[in-house]
Amino acid sequence: MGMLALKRLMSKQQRERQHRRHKVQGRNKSITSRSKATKDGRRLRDPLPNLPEEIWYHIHSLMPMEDSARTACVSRTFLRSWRHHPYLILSNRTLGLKQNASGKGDVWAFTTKIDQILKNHSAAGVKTLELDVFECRDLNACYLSDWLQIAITPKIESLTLELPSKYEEEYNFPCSLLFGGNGNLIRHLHLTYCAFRPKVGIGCLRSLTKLHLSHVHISEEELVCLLSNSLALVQLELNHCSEIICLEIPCVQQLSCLTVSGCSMLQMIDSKAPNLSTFDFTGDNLVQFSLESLQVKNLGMACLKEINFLNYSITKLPYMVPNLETLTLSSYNEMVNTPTIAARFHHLNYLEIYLDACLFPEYDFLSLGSFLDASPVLETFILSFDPVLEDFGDASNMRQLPKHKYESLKDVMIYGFCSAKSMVELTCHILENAISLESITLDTVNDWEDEEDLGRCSVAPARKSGECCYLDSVSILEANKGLMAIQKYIAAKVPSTVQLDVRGPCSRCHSLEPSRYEVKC
Amino acid sequence: MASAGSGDEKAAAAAMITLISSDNEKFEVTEATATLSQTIRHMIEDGCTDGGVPLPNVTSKILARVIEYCKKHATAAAGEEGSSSSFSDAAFLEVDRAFLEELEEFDDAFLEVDRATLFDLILAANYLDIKGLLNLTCQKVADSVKGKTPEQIREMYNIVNDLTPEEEAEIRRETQWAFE
Repeated sequence: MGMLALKRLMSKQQRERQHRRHKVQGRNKSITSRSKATKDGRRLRDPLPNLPEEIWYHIHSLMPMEDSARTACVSRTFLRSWRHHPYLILSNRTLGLKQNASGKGDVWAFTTKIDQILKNHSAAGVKTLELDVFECRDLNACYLSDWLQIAITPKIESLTLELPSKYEEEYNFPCSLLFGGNGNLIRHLHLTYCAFRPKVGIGCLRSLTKLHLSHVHISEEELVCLLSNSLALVQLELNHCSEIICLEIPCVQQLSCLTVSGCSMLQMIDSKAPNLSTFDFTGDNLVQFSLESLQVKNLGMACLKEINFLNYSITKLPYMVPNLETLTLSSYNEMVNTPTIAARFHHLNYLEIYLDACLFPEYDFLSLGSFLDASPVLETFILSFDPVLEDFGDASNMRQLPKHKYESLKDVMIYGFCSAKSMVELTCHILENAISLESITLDTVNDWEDEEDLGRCSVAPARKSGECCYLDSVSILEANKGLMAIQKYIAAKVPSTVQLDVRGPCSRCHSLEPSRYEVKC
Repeated sequence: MASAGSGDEKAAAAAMITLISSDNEKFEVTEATATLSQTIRHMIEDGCTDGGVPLPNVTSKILARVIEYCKKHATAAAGEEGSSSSFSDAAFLEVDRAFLEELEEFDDAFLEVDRATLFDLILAANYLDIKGLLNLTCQKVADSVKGKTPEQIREMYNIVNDLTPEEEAEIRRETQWAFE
């Protein structure tokens, strides 16, 4: 409920931000209106006042780009309004990359449209350009340079470039264009597949708050140079920047959010940003961290090739980042049970753990109770897991951990609930000790397609029919076994004050009956 | 930029301003309401509001509506400021959400006007420099063209097509992608 309220609020604020985009200065240049002209013999309906042309520009800027283009043929004012439309999103989605006779996208027609739109906008200047030409593998770099020349003017506020993948090796983003005073208003820069090589003394991007580099060739020194000249930076995201071995972040005061993923050569992150509070890391292996760690409140970590990452996290993180409030961990290879520890996450209120099925077979889910024991103010616990096959075994032998009051825990969600005995034990342990529990969701399917957590399409009207994730018949059987385990061992233990939400396979998508397309023998 | 201090601020909040419409009707509003208009805010800062602020471009009918909008939004703004200090985060979010929802409902109802009034409101918002009102009213026009043919739009807003058939055909070709 809290998250929903927050989302609503944020979308409202975003809308308001859009509204605040710019102010209109009215001059008295008016459009031709029928309010005065009666020579075509029509009776005047409601004599509308004339709006100055700048107001029509403003009205167009509030339309989606497609609507503005579609109405360009209404009148000269509307044509000029379209050519002043400040937000251009030029992609396959908006312009349509049609298939040609050979079944390939018609890149020529697509680039011609982009070229025409940008050239017609060159007089007015754009504020936002999103250019996605990823599928134009043979795009001539001369075109691109021309387009950037048009788009990067002192008016530019947001630039998103998604280039063909081979450009990562071949194309140097024209830094001089951006830094020579044209970048004074730029707030958001997102580059994908290119080289970006700012030089020392190149100037600053004083409004830049959000920088996102993905598959970008940039050296450590060049990145330091860029960051030192971006003093308003709040958010930095680096994906697959393979030249960086030591990521050095200078003392950028405002920087609060850092995301690093897939930087294959990375060995160390050394941040001097004093207010870094949110840090997300995804990589094959752990790297060395040197952060102003007392400030870090939100941490997300996924280490794809690290063995026993949960074990590492619970033993090290309470000391390394003692003020954590939210923590998301993904482990792909857990070979030992999670140990009990003496240290505490004193402020942790949100914990999400993803476990890949690559567990050793006897992994004891009940040992995850150590995380709950270590988090005295935890409110939300989410466990997601890809179910494994395991027989429940002997019910008479259910273990119990020592009693431990989880006074703050309100919401628990387990996705991929399976019939493994230790999973049932963990759930019972939570039910017995979480005295303030309000809701518990047990889903025997870990539906990665269900980003909004709506449940199966057969019961969630908000989801499109057939949208559930694919499950093979073995997984469907296991999910049904999970349901039986819930019924048998758990349902009776849920207090009446707690809302229990049990989800299983979808009656539409996850049927065990042979497909009707199957050929009968 | 008057001198700071809570006493002064309270006095300023209670101060009344008189707005005079083109047809000479007088409207008494609080300074907090009036200063949603940047134009009036500048006049207050320059100290030239004694004896009322004449607004020769705005009729009493439209000014009454503009004031209705400013009153509502000024109250909401004050409410938000007050709430941020005295509630916990969760309660703050709840209160904020309630405010935003109420405001959204108000805005929706406010826009239930005929096109001539809507255009007059746009012109008044532009003249008085009230960003929120200008965006609200312009957004209504922007949304109204969705799914309409050019001819329907001309009809709706009494716009003469001043393009030659050749020009129109040329623009159609150029923007064909938007029709697909």
